Amino acid sequence: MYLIYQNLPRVRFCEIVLCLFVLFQNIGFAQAQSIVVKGIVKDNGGQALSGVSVGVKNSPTVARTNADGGYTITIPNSQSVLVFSHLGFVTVERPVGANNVVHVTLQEDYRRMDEVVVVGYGTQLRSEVTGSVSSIKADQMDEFSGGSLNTSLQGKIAGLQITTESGEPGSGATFNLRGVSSINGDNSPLIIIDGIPINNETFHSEEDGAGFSPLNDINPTDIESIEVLKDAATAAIYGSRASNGVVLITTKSGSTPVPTINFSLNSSLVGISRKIGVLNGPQFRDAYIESIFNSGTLVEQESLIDSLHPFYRDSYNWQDIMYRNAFQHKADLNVSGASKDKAINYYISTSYKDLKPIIVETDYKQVTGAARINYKITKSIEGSTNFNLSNFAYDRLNTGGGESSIILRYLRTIPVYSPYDPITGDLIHLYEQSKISPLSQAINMENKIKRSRLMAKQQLVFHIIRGLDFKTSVGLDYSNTETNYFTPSLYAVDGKRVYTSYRPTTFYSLINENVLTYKKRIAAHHNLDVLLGQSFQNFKTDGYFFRGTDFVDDIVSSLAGAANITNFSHGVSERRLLSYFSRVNYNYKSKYLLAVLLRRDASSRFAEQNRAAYFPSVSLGWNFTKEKFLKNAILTDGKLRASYGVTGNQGIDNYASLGVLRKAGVYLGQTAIVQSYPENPTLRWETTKQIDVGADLDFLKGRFGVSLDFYQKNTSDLLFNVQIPNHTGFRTVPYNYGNLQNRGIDLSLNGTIINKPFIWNSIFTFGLNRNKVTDLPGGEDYRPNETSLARIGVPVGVFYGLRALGVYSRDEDNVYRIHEDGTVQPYRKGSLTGEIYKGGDVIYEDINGDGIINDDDLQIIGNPTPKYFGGFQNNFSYKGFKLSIFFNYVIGNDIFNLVRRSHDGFEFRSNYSTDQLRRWQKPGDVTDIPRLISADPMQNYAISSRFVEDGSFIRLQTLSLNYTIPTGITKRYGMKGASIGISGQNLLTWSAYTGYDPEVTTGGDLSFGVDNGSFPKSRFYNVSLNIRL
Amino acid sequence: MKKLIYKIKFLTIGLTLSASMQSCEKMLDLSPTTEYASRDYFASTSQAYAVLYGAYYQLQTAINQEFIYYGEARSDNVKFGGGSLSNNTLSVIQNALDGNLAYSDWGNFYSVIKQANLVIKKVPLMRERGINVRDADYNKLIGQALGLRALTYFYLVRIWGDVPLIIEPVEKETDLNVFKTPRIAKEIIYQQISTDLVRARALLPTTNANNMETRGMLTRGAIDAMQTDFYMWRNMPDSAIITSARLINAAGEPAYATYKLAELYNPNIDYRVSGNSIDNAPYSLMFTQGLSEESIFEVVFSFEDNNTSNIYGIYGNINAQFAARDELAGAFLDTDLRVLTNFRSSTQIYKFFPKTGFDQSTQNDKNVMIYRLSDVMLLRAEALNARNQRAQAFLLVNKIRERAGLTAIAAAEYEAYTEEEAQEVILTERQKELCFEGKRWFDLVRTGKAIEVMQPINGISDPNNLVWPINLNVIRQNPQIEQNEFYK
Repeated sequence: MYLIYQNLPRVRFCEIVLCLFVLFQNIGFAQAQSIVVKGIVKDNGGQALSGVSVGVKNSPTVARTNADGGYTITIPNSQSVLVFSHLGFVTVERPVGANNVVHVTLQEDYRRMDEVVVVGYGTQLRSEVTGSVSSIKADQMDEFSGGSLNTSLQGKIAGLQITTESGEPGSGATFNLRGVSSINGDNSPLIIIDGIPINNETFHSEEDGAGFSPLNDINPTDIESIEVLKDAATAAIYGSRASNGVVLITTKSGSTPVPTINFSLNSSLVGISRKIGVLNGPQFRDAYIESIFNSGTLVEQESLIDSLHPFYRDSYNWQDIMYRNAFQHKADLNVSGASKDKAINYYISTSYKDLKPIIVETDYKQVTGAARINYKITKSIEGSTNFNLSNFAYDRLNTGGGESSIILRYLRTIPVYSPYDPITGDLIHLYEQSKISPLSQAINMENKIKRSRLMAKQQLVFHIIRGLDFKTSVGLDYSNTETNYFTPSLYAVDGKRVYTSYRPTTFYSLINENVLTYKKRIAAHHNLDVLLGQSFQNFKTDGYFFRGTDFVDDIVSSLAGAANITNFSHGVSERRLLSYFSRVNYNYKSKYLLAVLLRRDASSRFAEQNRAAYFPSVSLGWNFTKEKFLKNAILTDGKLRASYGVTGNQGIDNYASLGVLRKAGVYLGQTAIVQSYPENPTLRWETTKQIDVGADLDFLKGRFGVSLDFYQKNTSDLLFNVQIPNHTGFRTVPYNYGNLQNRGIDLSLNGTIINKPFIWNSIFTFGLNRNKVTDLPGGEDYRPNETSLARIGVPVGVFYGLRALGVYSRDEDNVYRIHEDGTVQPYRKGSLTGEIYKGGDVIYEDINGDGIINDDDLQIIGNPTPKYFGGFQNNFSYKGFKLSIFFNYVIGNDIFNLVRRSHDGFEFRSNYSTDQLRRWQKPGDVTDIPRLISADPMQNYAISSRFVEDGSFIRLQTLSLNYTIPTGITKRYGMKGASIGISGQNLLTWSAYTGYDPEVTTGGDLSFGVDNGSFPKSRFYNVSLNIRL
Repeated sequence: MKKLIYKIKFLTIGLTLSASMQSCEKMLDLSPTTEYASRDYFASTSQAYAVLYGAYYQLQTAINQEFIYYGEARSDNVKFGGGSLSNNTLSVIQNALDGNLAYSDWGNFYSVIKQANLVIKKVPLMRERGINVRDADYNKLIGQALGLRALTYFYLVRIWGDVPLIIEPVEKETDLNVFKTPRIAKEIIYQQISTDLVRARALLPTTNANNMETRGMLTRGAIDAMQTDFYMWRNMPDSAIITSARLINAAGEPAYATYKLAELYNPNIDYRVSGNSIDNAPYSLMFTQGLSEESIFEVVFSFEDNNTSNIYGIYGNINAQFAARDELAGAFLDTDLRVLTNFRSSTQIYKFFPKTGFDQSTQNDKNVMIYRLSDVMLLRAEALNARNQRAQAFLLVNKIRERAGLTAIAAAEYEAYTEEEAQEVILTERQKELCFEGKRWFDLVRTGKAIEVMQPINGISDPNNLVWPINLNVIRQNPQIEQNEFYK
């Protein structure tokens, strides 16, 4: 707090507030004689409707129906007209007349155009939105125990592809909105909860790099709606952080005076969705001996050759030992309601999750709490206070991609290793050469993440005069993440040490926003809506690292038990963002729409001359069905939209433009400072210019709807840590590097296909995206890793390697050229004098035809960008039953299966995949798997098309059946309602992919669609119970 | 009237907002608090020293285990030790190096050069900016940075041959493609090394503030040693004789008071009798504790400073990556006291570890010997032999032998050798004296014996195979870099 305000002109600020108060004094409402009206509101099926807004026309008075559909409202006089409105129903107006009781039946409304849509710094009627906004509602959120915001959004927004990083609880997810817009893989959108931009940077375990999503700190049950701003017309109001789209999350609030208590319980049985085939003991021994024999070296290890050895004669599939079926539970309790005079409404919730992951001996527990209270202080002052709290403790194992990952280790552990001593039955801790047993590791190693987070917001709204509001808010996002890692003395052999490492990191961001809005209707048909705002946000990360050694024993494993702190570090990183923004919405008769907006952002991350940037956008809309000459019975509502705008991205280290020198260690007792990266004062925003043309069409009074958008995004000055030749002494430098283009189509169809009494609702989303790199410095390829490439004119991150054409069946099949004298010139590796490929080696395509297979033969061998992706949701309901089926699909992408390559290609003395059962063994064998040979001298496991697989999949993501117990029965037990349900998640996946799951982690540094081996996805079978009191 | 008031009020709001805008912009000037911004750096001598220590820190990273892989593992001194197989070890032992190996990446060496370049460029600028840098500090900073740069380039050319030459720090880069430079012919690198060494020698004192800094950082003596090594590598014995003469006088004694051979043979102690632990011999302590009086320059690792070399997993351990080849172990005479220092059991390499009471959890921090007096003495012996000053040469060799408890080679014997035979004797003595210290492979290469010696062991036959491959990632980053011929 201190930091924000120390420099603000405090006096002036007070002055503003003061003068605003003065203004309110002059505003008041005349009170007249009043009448009390009561009634009940039902739907056309006769079910009571709760939460229906009952208003008085041309008056601010509003009441809401309770759980029985009843309402009570005080009206000024009998000429008043009551307005009944409810989301999803046609609004009804009723003159009161002489009646004191007004019962109403509301008709279901399919029309989406009257929906209120949350947009940046406000709301709009969908019919008046000129940009591309998609939303999902509370009933589309994942309620199952392992569900999260990430999983809830998956496949439900056209054009938004969400890839969860792994099946680990709380795992990170990659958002790609309208294609990849960044080379370093940071595509995360700006997330805003109830108006407060929150920290959405995936946090990583320092031990293994596994990513965790900060969105996991939010309970999906608390969410009322999520809006995704897709084009620049809507997103540019968030300027510099909006390139990857903006996700607006609105939490629930209360409405009825009688409190509603919701209790729900979800229990799931989870298990690994598939396993990868590995060799059993005898198969492994054969393969291993063959690989060593082929390389001409000797085998000395008994475990590898002796099938009668008491310790090594059995065979284990370590996936069976390490993965388990587990129960997961989630309990939710929330209360919502409002005071009798409606001046205060509230929503309070808490949840508890116990998610046993599918790996043995791991554990995850989380508690969340949320409160949202909205209140009227005076007639002209309103306020709201929100809290979101979360706390989790995760006892885990290193699952991050790469060598340290247990996922690969489970595949590679030699199948003849027994987890228990076959003679004594004791758990074995170490195998030969001090290899740690995966099971012992799971049991004894301590690897914990603890995290607490608080997101809070205080907001005040001053209604200055009619139409003019001033809104001021302060928001806080505070989190504390601690990781703890301890290697017990069991493994302290071969110079390894007993140590504990402890890393507490706090993050906080404080934001102050002040917004003036003015709504005015001029001369009946001109509607003007003006917004003027200012925002200041301060972000700070403060992290420590301690490593303690020399413990008495393994019992006190925290730093408290360490005799020495052998290593420590401290890092503080801070940034600030100062913004001004303005938006003008104008429409004529709600028919012709115009929106213009401009944001100015200044970020501390850039040097002074590049610090500020302007992000404008302009958009137009035409509700053409409001034209008399276009009115027709089939097309109820139709709108055409067009927008153009600029958004930015500032995702780079906080001090990137300054260049940094920092402590690297100690030499001779003196602090050693190392230059991390040089100064780059030219560093500037990454900018995205986006054109969007779209249409929203509602047919048959909204029973069917279509939203269609075409877009083109040109991103320039891509901002990331660019790899440079390391003879500079640097691996990467922060830099603006290259341009990208994304073009595509978002389509979303929804409809009520069958109506009453059996209802079938369907939503289909479809995203098509084509991207390409349009510029790179000097036109040169960028190759930051071994698998992927950026090249002008081709999609981002295409796979680059040799093309494998098969395996030489015999030595004599290797023929490059037959000379006139009959001598055969074979293909060689590397050079004219290189090794000759023999039977059992991979046939690589020689694209330059020189008879030599080398780097000149590298070519593009795959494209990680899907051609199409989306989802297909179907809800069937009949009486109390509701059946939901949700498919999600990704079509046309390739995956580089690095796991398969690492599994078989490199590691010595480790298990192989069942691919090796069809390996080449003798001349004449025709197969696609090359011979096994230790050290792989002919590079049969080079990066090649052998590991590129089709990543397309269609997944039955959710199948659920819910039954709402009839109110007659529930009432008897004092409940307002109850439902029970069964469901399954991730039940079926249609895919040709051979790895654990075709939903593959998108790593940094261009490695899109490279399967590096992450925590496998789980399959969930759930039961749920929901009680409303 | 009301309207007017509103208007005035709004005007005030507008003005205050725009006024606050100006003051707010200043809040965006943020400087790091737990690290330094480039523009503020090099404001004091102590900052310059911190960057110099940073260079040594990077040198630790570059050679902590690598000195074994680059200088020892390809030679006839070691074999696979039976530990858990790693790609690096297997490829080196079997002479199957390729560009995927982590050790084929030269990046860590260039991190040392980056730090050195900063000091060389920035310290003179500090003076220009009016910051007081005392002469002693100035000379020490620049001299050490030049010396470190030379040492690093010397490693680079010996390992990879031609390499990129970077002698300016990278600052405010505007075009990243300027860094895509090709490799430079090693003759040009040699010129740079030679120039840097001459400059460094002129600036550096013979001793530093204390014993630890005298041996753990560069001094004039270290430059003399480096120059000797450099000229022997370049097959320039005349130059080597001159540079080594600065360290070793005509009587074969150290010319600087700082250096002295660490004692091993002592007629009053029999190390073979238990109770007289070899661990207490100054010769053994030279490796197990470091910073001995024989040491000219060593890279210091320290458990207290949290830089351990993890050498124990590579040597030492019963499951180590490397063990001594039987031929080498067998070449030591029974009377050679160095056997006690070098080995535990017959081939377990234990030179760097105390034979009793070794605690691998806290003592896995052995210093890397870069130059010690014996090394220079034997190089000088080789140079003198090449210039037919055999008696002078064997005066030095015999000092090494006698220290190990061996008899001196009689004049009659060494006079009877041909020049090649004499060189062979010196080289063999050198192999025994400096075994496992990362010297043997370079000795084999510079004397042209690598293929002859190693072909029967691992089949190496192509002179182009003597250098390492260039890491594939380096080539991916910079297509201007051409792979070494043998590894294409």
